[in-house]
Amino acid sequence: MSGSAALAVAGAAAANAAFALTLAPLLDGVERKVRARVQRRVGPPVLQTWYDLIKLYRRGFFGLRGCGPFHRAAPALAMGAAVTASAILPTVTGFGAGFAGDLIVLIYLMASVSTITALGAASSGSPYGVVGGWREASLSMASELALAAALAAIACGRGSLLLSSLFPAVRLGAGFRPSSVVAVAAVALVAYADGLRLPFEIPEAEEELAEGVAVEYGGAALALLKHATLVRRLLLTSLLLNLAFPWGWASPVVRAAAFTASLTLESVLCSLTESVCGRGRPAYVMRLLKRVTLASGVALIAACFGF
Amino acid sequence: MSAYNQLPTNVMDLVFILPVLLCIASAITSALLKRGLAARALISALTSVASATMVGVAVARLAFGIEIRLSLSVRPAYGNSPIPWPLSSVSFAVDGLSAFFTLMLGLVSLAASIYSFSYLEGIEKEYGLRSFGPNYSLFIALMYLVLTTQDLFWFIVFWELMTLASQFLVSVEHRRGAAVRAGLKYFTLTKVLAEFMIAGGIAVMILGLPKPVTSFQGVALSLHALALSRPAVAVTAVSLMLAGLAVKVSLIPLHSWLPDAHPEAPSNVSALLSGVMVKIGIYMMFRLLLYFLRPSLGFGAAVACVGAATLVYGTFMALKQVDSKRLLAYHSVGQLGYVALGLGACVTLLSTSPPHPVLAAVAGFASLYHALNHSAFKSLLFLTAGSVERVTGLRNLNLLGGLGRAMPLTAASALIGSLAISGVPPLNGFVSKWLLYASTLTAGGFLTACGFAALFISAVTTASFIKYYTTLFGRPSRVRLSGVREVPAPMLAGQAILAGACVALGLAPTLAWRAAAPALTSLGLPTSALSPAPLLGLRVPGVALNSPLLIAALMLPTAAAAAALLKGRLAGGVWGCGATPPPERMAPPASSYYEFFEHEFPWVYRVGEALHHAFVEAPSKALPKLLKGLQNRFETPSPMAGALGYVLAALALGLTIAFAAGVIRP
Repeated sequence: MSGSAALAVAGAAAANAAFALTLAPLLDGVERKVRARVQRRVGPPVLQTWYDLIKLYRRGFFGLRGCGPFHRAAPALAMGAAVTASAILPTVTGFGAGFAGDLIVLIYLMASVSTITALGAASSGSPYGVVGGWREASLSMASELALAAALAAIACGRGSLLLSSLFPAVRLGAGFRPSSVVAVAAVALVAYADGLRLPFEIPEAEEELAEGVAVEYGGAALALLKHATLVRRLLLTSLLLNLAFPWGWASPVVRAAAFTASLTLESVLCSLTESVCGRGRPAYVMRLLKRVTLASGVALIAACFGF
Repeated sequence: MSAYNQLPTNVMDLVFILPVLLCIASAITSALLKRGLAARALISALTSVASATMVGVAVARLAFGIEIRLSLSVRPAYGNSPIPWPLSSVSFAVDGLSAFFTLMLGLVSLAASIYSFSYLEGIEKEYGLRSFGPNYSLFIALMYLVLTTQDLFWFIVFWELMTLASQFLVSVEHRRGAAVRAGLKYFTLTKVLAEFMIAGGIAVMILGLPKPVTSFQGVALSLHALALSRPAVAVTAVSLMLAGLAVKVSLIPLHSWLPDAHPEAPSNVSALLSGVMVKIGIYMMFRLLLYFLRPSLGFGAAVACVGAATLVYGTFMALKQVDSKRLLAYHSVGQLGYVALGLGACVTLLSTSPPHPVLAAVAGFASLYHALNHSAFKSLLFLTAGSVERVTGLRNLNLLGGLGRAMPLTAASALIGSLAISGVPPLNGFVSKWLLYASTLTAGGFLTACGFAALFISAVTTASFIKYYTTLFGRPSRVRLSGVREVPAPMLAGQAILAGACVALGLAPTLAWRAAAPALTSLGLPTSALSPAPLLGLRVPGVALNSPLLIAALMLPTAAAAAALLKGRLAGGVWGCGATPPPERMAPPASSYYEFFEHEFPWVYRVGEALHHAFVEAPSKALPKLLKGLQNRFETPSPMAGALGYVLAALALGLTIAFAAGVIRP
């Protein structure tokens, strides 16, 4: 790679990361507004999540010593993993895809966010944190089951794991594979579930577990944890958008605008769904995700037979 | 009658023999000294130097291409040889494949031997070192000989001796009933199935060519001839050999000895058992399926599918465990499933029409790389579990907890090991799993389905290690633990070596690629399959790309920047809804972690148990009453049982070797 090309890739990656970090709390603000409107409330301002984060960031670390140093380091590491993932996945710029890794690297980085969160929470010494941690781990196991089958179906069809050859997964015309449509639908469901939305929002579960994984975090640590979770949610939606639709046709500015609009639309749809759901019991959530796996399993079997 | 040994003639030959000599010296001195600081120091020092020499021998081959060859034979000046032929000569060569596995052995045994110096105190006080010392030293030496011999007959001999030494090591704490039972179960299962391997091996050695052959090259020719002349016999022989190897690799349904034997052994031995010995079966499978035999779709697919089944069942069983070392042992079963899947995929991809040599090489490399990585992180985890057991006297994850503050260095090592086996980037488990997915998911057909299972099980592994790490070091303990402090420096050093290996093998996959390339070349796989990516990364052109160092370069500075925000106060204790209950009442037990997840997949457990019952328990019920009686005798631990065990095992072994030597006549 020549020097200027490397610089352009680095710039695009930085832009993607900055975009994800900025937009994720904004989208959360939009969702809170939508939910409030459905419930006939005025709701907080769209920037409210950002205001909260800024307030918390300025407080520094505030919390207990925990059982060992990992409790304190976890939110920072989770943020590191989330930012790295957002640099690899094309979001606002379609460019810079996969300079450091392919789809598997991306999936693993996103999964590490929840792994690190769960480890940190369970190292706090709080029983709520421990329960939140194991719920987080269980949720990621169950959603990985559905996601792995869907991604295997897509990768099998393309014969590659590189982001540039996988995006978009659904291709019309000669390269059309019916299995890819089912697989992308399954990815959509997993993106919803793994984005910790109701009824899947079991690790934090404010009413039951008093914030679960975040219970013993305060100040900047809590902000980092929340921010990383929101970034991860945005990345899951972005992965879905990249898989479902072609984005190569647009000029950079149009692409950036269209992508942002799509993310916002998806957020609105998700928050509308959320506002009619209650939180599921863990066993119910596992069963629900197992059913999603049926869909992606069908896609996988079809893909294995070349459809 | 004058017989002369053809003595090693140059320096490299001496270097090759040195580890064996050092281990023998360690065995003799420890048997003589029995106990005391000097005995411990001698065992530790001699086996450490031996292991370092093994690493040297391996690196000489892998980095500088120096291939040591050594033949020893007893040749009479005149008349007939006093020793019949297969026993009278033995040849060794450190080729690419041998060197790769020798590197693995050297690395783990170096760490375990350094660790032993302090760890052995407990065993020394209670049991003395007369049984442990010789068996430990000879076990290491025999693994080295198994890996380097180029002769199938001697492979079998050394293999059997290695099994024998390891059996004694498993039940070295002979006053504990569980240890004796586990050793016996291990020995019975591996011994019975090793007879299959011996039968298959003998068939291959004597049936293919007009004259029996024992060298690896000869065996390859012989098997090829046999496959052409009598294919059914060839298939049977290879299947028998695979069954004998599979029990050592602990592939389902022959896995059941491992979760008993590995936890009951002392932890430095568990590290060697899980880290190295089980992989020696993989080593021979590589030779058998890719060197002796032309790539065969049937065997490749069988190994891949059994591997996939093993990784699912092993890891699901691990999820349920509440004994720290038993959990690790079940994960060894699961991780060896990954290794076997890589090997099976490699063979399958070579034997399809048209063959896919590039993906096959990637799968073969993934298998070798994961085997090496597993040696690093699983041995590390066993050593840290041993440290915890040493300090607290407990292995029960339901009770243990909160050790992170008293044992920060051990906790850090265990965390590195846990993250590595979970595949958190940029540590080593992540890279080898990635290669496995790259070769299986894109291959199509049943390999994609196997790759899907591997990808899913990776999440289960992660969950299991979240439990493992947090119950040991994270959440508070459920019993009062007193006198908990960090373990002595030699134990920390042993852990640090392996933790360093986990990080280095993760950040620089090109290092592993360099190490494995000679092995792949010696098996006829193309080394052009992978090309370098930015910053020591790897690329499978057009298929996959991974640059762990670049990921680390992005992730760690970001995390450091984020951590800069975390300066500030520590305040208060854990929130307990207003009350302040004692910490041990605030800790949920390990068994409750994934209950509702396990409940959703009851069939995984049922199918695994049914397979095990059909292949192992039902046949073993048909064992003669005599054997049953013997087994019952062993179950009550007594000095007599131990001595009887030695005699019987040695007898069984001697008979086997004599039989093999008797059948293979020139």
